[in-house]
Amino acid sequence: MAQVEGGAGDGGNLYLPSDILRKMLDRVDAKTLARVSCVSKRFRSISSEESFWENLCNQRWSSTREPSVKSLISSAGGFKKLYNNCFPFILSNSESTPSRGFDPTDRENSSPSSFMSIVDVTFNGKPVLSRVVNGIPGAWEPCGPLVDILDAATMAHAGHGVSITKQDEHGAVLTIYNKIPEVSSTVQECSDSPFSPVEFCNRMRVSWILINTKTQQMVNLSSWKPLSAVRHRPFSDDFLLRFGSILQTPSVPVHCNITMRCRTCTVVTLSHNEVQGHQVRLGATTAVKVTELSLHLENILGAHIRGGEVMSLLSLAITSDKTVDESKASGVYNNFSATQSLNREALIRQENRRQNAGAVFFVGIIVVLMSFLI
Amino acid sequence: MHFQGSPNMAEKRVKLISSDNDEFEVDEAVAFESETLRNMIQDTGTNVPISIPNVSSDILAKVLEYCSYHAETMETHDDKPPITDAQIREWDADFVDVHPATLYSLILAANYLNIKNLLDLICQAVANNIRGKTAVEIRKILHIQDDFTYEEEMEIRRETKWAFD
Repeated sequence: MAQVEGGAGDGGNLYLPSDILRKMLDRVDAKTLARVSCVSKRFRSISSEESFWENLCNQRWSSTREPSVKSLISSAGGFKKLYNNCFPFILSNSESTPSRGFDPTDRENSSPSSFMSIVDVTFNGKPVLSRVVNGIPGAWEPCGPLVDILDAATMAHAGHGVSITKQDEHGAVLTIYNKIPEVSSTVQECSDSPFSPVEFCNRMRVSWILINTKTQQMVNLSSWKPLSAVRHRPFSDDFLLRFGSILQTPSVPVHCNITMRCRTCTVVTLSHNEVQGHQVRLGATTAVKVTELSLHLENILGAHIRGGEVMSLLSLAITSDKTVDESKASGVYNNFSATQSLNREALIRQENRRQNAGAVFFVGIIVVLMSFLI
Repeated sequence: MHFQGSPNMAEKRVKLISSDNDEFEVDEAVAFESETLRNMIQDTGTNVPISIPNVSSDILAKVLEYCSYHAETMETHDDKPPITDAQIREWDADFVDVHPATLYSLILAANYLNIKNLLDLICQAVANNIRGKTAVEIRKILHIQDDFTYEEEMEIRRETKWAFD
């Protein structure tokens, strides 16, 4: 009769058969899996197997299920590397060393075409939007964002057609829940939603993975949770959510700003009643709608950065220090935005002073002219 | 020592012998929960006692307790209401609420006897035990000896710094 694999080994070490260990590790979260790799050499080799990490990546980033993204990740170093590099977000502080492997003069490896973005938006853990964009389409444009996820031109530009959500002409839509099954009939939107605005914004998560396909480095430019949320306009149903990170360059900090415009809406399904000749309300579904999602880099004065500087900043971002501590990251952001608004006020004051001086000078000239005439 | 399976005279009984030479007698349906026993019974019939040399009496009793409960849940009785999934889950949760050493022996037994549902249940229980624990605590739970040097361990921690913050 066959002997059981395993049993008490030397020194009281218990030996778990590898396939049982795999069964267990299939059921743990990423943090535990990472800690298991510290337990022993054998545990390290099993817990490093790509299948576990691929599974965890698929749960976190639905875009990674796509075969084209999968092959991109495999060629850039695999799913374990992706999780370790892109689950934490950027935390660069002025004391941190000017990042390992960063060379601002390396023009060949920091051309726009060497970068790829993998963007995922979730609401309440459910995927709203997943996209892959090749390059940095707006880097040399005079205005507009560096990368616009919902832009039709970007879509055409992007080689990969990752799109897991229903999309209408105005953006990506996620149906949160259905009160009745969908019926093919007229649809009308109104804006009452079961979520309070704060709750709605707090449940939004954005991941913006940037991969340099030449150097095989990767980073998550986003902060997962929104850094700030405001109404698009007073009394508007649209919200502007900011995600992103602060990049600490040797001279000044730069905000890697991911802006998302979104709203919840209730989609009312109407059906035309043939007999009575008017429309009958069949039911309503609530949906989250993302109408804008873009990336730009802005300096402490709020000005957008363009051209070659974008590339060296993105190369800096990809090698910067990382953290999972949200409070640290939001602290850095709050400092930055406070300084930015102070700078803006100073700029406005300066401008006002200049205008005032101009007005005084003008009045003076008129007075002098008048006195001559008299 | 006789194990009290569900008494059903119409069914065949199977004799099992543990590593401590204790004899257990169960219904064929109970033994069939184990893929390994099912294959053996199909090969040799129910007349010959089946020896299980690497499972001790107390663990085998525990395993057969699981098997007989789950064989019972499959049966339909006209006089009793069927056992709900929630009841089964509750029973399973109580079943795995044992000392880690027992749990560990149960894994090996379930693996050898090839009882898929039991193995899944225990793996989930162990996964729950180690979730969120430090490497030192995981070593203690799974009885693993640290074979890393200090430098090696620091290197691994650097690789996945976020998991150790």
